[in-house]
Amino acid sequence: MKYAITAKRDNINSHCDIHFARASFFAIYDNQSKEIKFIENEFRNIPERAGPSVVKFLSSLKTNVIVSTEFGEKIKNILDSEKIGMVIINDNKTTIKKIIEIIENKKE
Amino acid sequence: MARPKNLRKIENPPQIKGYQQVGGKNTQDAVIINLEEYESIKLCDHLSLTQEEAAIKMGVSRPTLTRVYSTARKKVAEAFVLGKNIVFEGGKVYFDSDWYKCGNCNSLFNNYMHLSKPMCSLCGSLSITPIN
Repeated sequence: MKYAITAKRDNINSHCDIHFARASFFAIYDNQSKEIKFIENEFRNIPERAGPSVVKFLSSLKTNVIVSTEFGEKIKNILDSEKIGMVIINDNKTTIKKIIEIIENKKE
Repeated sequence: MARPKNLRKIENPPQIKGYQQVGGKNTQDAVIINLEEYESIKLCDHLSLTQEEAAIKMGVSRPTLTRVYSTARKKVAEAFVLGKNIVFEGGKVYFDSDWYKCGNCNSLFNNYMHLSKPMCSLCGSLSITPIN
């Protein structure tokens, strides 16, 4: 499964970004290959429709689940139709490293 | 007999279960705010939508939204003035897809694959509670 985690900076000690579409980076983690890749969010400064553009981009990377602390109001329907799962982390001080540890301990 | 209430649509469930007052005496007293009331405050006050727009989002008529919103504000005022806790619970609501809270990693997630036995998308735990 491929996870996209919103990140404030491009390293694993960075916190999860509180915005989804306007997050600075996305940490793309594949739990099969255990590979982590940080991608800069080029849509974060566009004036409108950042959400749908980001979803289209993440969908093209074949992302299965998106992890963030918040999702914008327009995003939910789009993600539902793309069959991409949403996970809301309650604590925005959670680091990318911690989230990846949780995923790695996942019972399949 | 009164007509049963229509279901109200909620976009995201609240991230917390409620609020606890600080420094008061009767710490057990709580005001229960329904999820539809929580959503009306979120749409009208936090996202600054008009009541008309909020009503469309929740799939109810504008007068119904006004009623729900006014009860919500009354309850918040009651909690503030009388020093009560606030609990988010219940209400005739539905979500776009089923949402659950994981008892293991404490995250909220949706059942996007529409599995009959959903598990946490993050940690794979089965100790989950539905949010409705």
